[in-house]
Amino acid sequence: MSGSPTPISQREAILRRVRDALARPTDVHVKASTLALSGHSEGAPSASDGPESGGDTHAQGRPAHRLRSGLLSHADCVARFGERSAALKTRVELVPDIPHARDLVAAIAGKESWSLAGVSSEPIADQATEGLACELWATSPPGESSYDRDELARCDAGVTGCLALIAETGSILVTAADQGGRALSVLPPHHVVIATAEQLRPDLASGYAALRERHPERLPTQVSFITGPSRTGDIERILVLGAHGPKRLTVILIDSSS
Amino acid sequence: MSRTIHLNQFHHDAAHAIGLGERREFIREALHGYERVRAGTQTGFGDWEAARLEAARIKWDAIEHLDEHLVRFADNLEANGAKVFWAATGEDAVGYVRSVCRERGAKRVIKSKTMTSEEIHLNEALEADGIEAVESDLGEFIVQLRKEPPYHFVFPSMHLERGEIRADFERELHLEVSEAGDDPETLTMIARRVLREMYLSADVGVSGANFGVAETGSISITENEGNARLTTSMPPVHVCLIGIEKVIPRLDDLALLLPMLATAGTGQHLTCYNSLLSGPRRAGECDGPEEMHVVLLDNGRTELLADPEQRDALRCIRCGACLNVCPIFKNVGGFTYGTTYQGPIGSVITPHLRGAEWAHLSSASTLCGACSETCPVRIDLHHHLLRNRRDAWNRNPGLRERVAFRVFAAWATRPGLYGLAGVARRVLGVWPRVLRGTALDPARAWRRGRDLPESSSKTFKAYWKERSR
Ligand code: SF4
Repeated sequence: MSGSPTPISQREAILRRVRDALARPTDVHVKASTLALSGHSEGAPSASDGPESGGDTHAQGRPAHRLRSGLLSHADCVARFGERSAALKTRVELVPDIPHARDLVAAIAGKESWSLAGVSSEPIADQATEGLACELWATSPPGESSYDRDELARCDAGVTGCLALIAETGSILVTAADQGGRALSVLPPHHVVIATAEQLRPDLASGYAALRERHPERLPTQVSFITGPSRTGDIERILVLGAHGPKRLTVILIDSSS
Repeated sequence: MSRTIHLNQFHHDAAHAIGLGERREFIREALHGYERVRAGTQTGFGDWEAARLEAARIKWDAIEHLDEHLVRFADNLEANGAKVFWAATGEDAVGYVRSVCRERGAKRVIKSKTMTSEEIHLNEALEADGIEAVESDLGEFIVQLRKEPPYHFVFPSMHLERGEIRADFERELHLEVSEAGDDPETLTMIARRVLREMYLSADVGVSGANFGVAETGSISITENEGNARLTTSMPPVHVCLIGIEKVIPRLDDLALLLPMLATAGTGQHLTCYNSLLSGPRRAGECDGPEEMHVVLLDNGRTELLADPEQRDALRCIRCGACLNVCPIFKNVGGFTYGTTYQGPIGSVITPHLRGAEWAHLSSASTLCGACSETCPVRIDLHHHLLRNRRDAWNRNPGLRERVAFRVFAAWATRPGLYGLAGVARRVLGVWPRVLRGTALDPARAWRRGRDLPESSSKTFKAYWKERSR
């Protein structure tokens, strides 16, 4: 192991400085104006409020400060996820069952002439890539602990499941423990997600709840909300996809009601 | 002494930046662009003002109980298998990172965006040790090629046009960028190709963090490109630099703070990748670094914390929005500040973090309040600038101003003398045009950079007398 841990005294020295600093209470005027304690513009309607905002957020008992999802029904969630994804340039395909998902993956693989696809060892990803006409390679086959990074670098695509989908933001929640490691969903140029409609959650807060439900003891060492394909606007504010991560992101959403 | 050096440098750089008219227009246009996009995204919130208030409360609580949250954060990180280093100063932090690199025999370090690293000058120290430090965020990568500091702490390369970036790539990467190829897409793909090798070959990955989650012992990183995910996934060692003020109590706080940061910072509902990292690779996971080190940096932050009026500036989530709306930033540009954190927030905190010789920055403001109004965590930035001015004056009342205020008081409290002001005004008003702005013009300091407004021919006193008749 490298690096020597902090001498305990240094931790204590910094904590003492923090405590000494906080011993003097914060200025009451600053507090009042920041937290709107004296009726400072609290609850002032924002200019950006659409006419429907008050109605739909409060009707559902959603705190007004949250992103406005206005979602109740499952169908709404599906529609909203689709809308957000379109804005983000994520491709979303609705299919009724696994065999249709498999056909779609095969069609994409053919069109992009994949020669190697990385697959996370999850039942849903395995099933959707069964019989695929290119070489398949798993980052996390049962019983093995590591993979060859050069293999991953060669992959034309990474195919994974997900822990949840977030309708209001068009996000995909993945973890290192569940979706075949940290890199499979970010290194290959195309990330294909196979998800079921039951995995849709209305908003970020319910996404965190799903994460806790799946990992009640402690979080996997890496968790990521993926919101669209990798992008940058660092050159003249012009949007370019695939800055370092995947240039393409596809969600194949299996919805038996579709 | 160094105070005047910094001040003179500021004046010099500001004059230079203002002289570059086209560049100034380019930057102003970009900043307006960010504002337009943001205004659209903001409507995604049920009530933006309520959201600001809630975000302000979360960060308020975080700073008010910083000691408790820090202890919890560090203990949980250690329970997750990370090593935590408490760095009192920038030198301590740099020393620790160097020792980690040395023990790994590191030759190359890949970095994702971290302003904390700029603050402690990590790259220079690593390079002195013969270690190559490569910035992977596209904007940072570009300014690193140019050996420039970031222009804006959220948009490091916003001041550059594609042709300049293309020339940098040709020169520094020894590439021929084809004639057709100076569009952003081509340039971005070149960077992608070059950096991909780096992730795979680097010995250490260095990242920053946007938040530290005390409850779970995690760091939260917000990005769009995927470079931070690769930096924290591929190399065998991950070092995270994080200021002590970034700790928040609960995981669920992110459900508000992440969309706030994205909206205010880049005008997105959510940035592309929001990742939580909680320790090195664990049994049952197939990749990830063998070691994770978290460097908790003080470096002057406790000085600011000790100020009961201004500690709330530590609530800043570094979204950069206050820069985008600042009329001074728009005109003097990012380099003129000479600081790691530019714009209003930089002017507020730098005198606390780096010393009173930076107090002049607090005068780089029109006090218009646009910054305070835009801040997603409701930091009252322009009042903090006034407090800084007051403190600087109390520390060192300037002789010139002292005399000036005495004279002003004597003049303003004597109606007879005050009446003479009308004469002075008339004299300045008719000051021969040829002499304006020259050494013979008493209003030269003002007129050098702007016009003296025409004043009314009637004084207020005369007006009042007439009215009360
Ligand atoms: S002070 Fe406010 S507006 Fe400025 S960077 Fe910090 S959080 Fe953003």
